[in-house]
Amino acid sequence: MTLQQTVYIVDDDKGSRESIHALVAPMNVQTRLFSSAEEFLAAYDPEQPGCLVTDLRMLGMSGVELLERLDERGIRLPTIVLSAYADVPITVRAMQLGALTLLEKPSRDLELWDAIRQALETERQSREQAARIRELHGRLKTLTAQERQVLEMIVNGLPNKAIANRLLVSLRTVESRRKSVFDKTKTRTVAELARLVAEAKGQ
Amino acid sequence: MKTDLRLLLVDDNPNDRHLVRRELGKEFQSIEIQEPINWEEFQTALQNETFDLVITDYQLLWATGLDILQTVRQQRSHCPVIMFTATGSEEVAVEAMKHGLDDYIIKTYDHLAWLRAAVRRALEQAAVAERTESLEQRLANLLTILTVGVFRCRPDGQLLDSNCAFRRLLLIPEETDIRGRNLSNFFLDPVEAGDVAARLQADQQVRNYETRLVREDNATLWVTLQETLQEEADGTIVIDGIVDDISARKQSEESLRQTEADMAHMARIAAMGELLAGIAHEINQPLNAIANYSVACIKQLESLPQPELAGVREWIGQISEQATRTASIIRGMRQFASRQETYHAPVELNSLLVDTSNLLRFELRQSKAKLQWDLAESLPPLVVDRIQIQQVIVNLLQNALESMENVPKEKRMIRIGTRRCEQGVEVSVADCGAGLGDMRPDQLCQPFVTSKPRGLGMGLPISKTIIQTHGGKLWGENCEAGGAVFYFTLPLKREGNV
Repeated sequence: MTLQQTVYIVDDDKGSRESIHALVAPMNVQTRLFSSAEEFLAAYDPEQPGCLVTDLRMLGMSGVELLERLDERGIRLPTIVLSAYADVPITVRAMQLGALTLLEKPSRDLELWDAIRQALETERQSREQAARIRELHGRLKTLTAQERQVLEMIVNGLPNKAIANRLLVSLRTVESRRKSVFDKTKTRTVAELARLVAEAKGQ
Repeated sequence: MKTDLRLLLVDDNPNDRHLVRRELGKEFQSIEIQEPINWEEFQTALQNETFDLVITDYQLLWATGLDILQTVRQQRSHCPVIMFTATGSEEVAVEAMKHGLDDYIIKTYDHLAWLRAAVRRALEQAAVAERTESLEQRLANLLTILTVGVFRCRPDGQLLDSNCAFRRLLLIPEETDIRGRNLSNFFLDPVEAGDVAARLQADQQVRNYETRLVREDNATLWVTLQETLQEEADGTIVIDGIVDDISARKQSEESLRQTEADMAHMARIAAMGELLAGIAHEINQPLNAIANYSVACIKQLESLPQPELAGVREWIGQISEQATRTASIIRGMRQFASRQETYHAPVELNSLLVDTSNLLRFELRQSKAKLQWDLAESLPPLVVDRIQIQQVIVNLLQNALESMENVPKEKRMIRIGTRRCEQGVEVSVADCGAGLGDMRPDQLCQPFVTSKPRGLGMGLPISKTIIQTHGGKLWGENCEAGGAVFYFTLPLKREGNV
């Protein structure tokens, strides 16, 4: 099941906030508008995929402080920081805290549009990636300890005979374990299997 | 006891001398009398200066009273001489009076009583004369040592007298006669020169004013001139005047005024900066909304293929573009306004120019304008605020590019030059564009004055302020071959001299 992405818009200026909402409308995503960072933090559900567009200077918590709070909670939400005036130290801090980009306000042409699209794409990809890794780990978990041994050796390129010699079991036993490795991991070739293992390790 | 009278009594007749002694004894309690009876004794007495008054007979065996009078006058000009004689005549009396005799008394018993009064009067006159002379001497001394010029002139300006300082002030040579000069000729303003007396109103005896005079060498001085109308004892009108050279004060006043004007200018720029920062802040938010809504419209319209919407798409594109442009103007203004603190560090000017021109490579490529470099070698490093000087260079290059919009692309060329100059280093940026037109050089750097249809008129004023705060100058002029050239100078700063 794919969750619909949400663009969170945090800006204390109503005009800015609603114009970003309008800008995002053609992207077929949900939007949620907040007039302060505090409000956003109170309402944010980390399970909900999407991206964040926040103003830098706001009454109350600033955009950078908001990034710090998200960082403390271990939340990696793709974030675009908007600022009418950013200086170098603020920009560096925002980027260190994982902001995707920092745009001047008002931004040029399609800068903001492109940045939001990219943020959503990045989020989608990383979410899908995470889901795939979870799924691959699920497959690998179904293997028995003996099957895992065989899997390691197959991936390292050992032929069945060599595996049988190493494990001091019969060639038939190796062949049977080998079959269930391919079955359980839903792979057919050694190359596919090697790729799956590498992917599961996040490589 | 103080001696009331020290008398030189010249008379050959012992009886007459006795008579005089007795008569003056009635008037003066203590008298010291010398009675020379020949020329040598008279000379000795004269040299010793041991008398205050001379009474002489006219007919002497060894001289005449006239000889005595003249000899005394030569050496003691103020010493009163009274002739007391029975042998004289009217002619003698007239002759003697012409030679400065104080009184002439006929030696008869009837006139004897007059002698006392004559002596008393002569002594008083002598005292007055001496005091007058000492005052005159003192006045002359004062006038000589005075640093202010003092003069006296006739109502038509004809000079009658002046002190040394007056001559020094106007460089009038010592040997020339001051009476050959007229005060009016020294005035710079011919209207002010006019009739000196006319400047003094009937009800105003003294006039004190500042004016400019021209020295003999044609240099101009600022002076205060005080003129006083004086009526002499004989009824003639003269003007006594005092001239004081205030050129130095005027100069410092002028430079103070200039400094104040500069300060006021800086203050206005700063105030404008604050205003701009405020405006920039307020405008940015709605501008941001405009830009975002424009993009939203464009994106929404992309899904509507109707050809009649093509124009709308283009217009909204324009809205977006104009909003972006407005934003960049405001950003520029704000950057200037917010730059209160400056950071000065040694900068190699030639490489700064080259680096800065790279910032405009996109604009240069679009315009196809060629850059021609004419950089002086081994320029000393300058201690400047790099960012600010960069701002100036960008401004000048942008102006140059914009001025060449109507020049065929293949002819577009900007010459950038550096050279050592008296003030330090001079940078020139010359284009072959429209030139400055009929804009006056002093208008060039005034805020909001622009020849560009889309210009804000802030670039050059900001640049000029930046250069001035660096102690340099910025100016522009038309090139002889067409186009305009802008120059700015930056002073050399020695290390440790921050």
